[in-house]
Amino acid sequence: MAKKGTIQFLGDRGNPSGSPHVAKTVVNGISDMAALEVLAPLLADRSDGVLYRVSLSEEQIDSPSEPGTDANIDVRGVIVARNKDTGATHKWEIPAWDGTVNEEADGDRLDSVEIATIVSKITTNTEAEYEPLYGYLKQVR
Amino acid sequence: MAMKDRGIVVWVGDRGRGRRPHMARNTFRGPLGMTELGAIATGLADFTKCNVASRVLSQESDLGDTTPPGVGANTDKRGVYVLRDDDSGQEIEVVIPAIKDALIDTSAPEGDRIISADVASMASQVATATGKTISGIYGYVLGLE
Repeated sequence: MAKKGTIQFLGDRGNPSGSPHVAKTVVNGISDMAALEVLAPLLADRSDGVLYRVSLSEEQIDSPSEPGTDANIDVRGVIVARNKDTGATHKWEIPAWDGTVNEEADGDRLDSVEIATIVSKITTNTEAEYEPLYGYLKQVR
Repeated sequence: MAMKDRGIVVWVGDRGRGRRPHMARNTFRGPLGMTELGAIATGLADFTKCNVASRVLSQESDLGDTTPPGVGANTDKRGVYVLRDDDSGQEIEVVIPAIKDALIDTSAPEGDRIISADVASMASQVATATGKTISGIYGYVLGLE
């Protein structure tokens, strides 16, 4: 798996009293987070900026990677759910929506059972607990 | 993983023209791992005509030092270290924003360079972090004429 380390520095753009500016340095092929946390201060020693944050991302390529048939990503199913712990509302836009669409007077809605299935799947596989609110169909462009 | 970590599912579809692929993505906060992110992708795949192109798991660590930057921390003044992966032959650029003046060799007539000892030091540090064999080639300064 390809791993990419990003190191963020806090500086300015020549106007110290203005808004701080975050600049990023990317190093590919970092072994793990521990290695990145060792490297970051060494790079920061070369900068007048302040070491702000590091992130490590790893990518898993899946297959097949060709587009699906009729997979127009501008037709999106929008799922809206609430994080039960924080109360924050979250929205996921599923491209090329292929689930059930209920045509109602006030617009195209997604099927509530399917929304619940998706939200349940997200809850199971993340640290958050979500409850489904609603879903609708969105056409971009 | 923690709530500020992110899992991204990258979808491949098109924009109404089947022969020209186009990517879309969904982001999920606090994924439990790459396997769990795969489970989300598989579950969502029942509701989209797209295929899954890739999955990205991103961990984030705040390093605690958020002191406002001081005078001279101009991120537009960048030191560019050019290194080489000796196994693949690929060049690697590491860009340091607000590069310190002490690391700049201003004596070269063709422009400001990073002092060569520091380029070598950078190559060694990146080699340690990546487990690869890395050589330093050269370094130069961008921005702020």
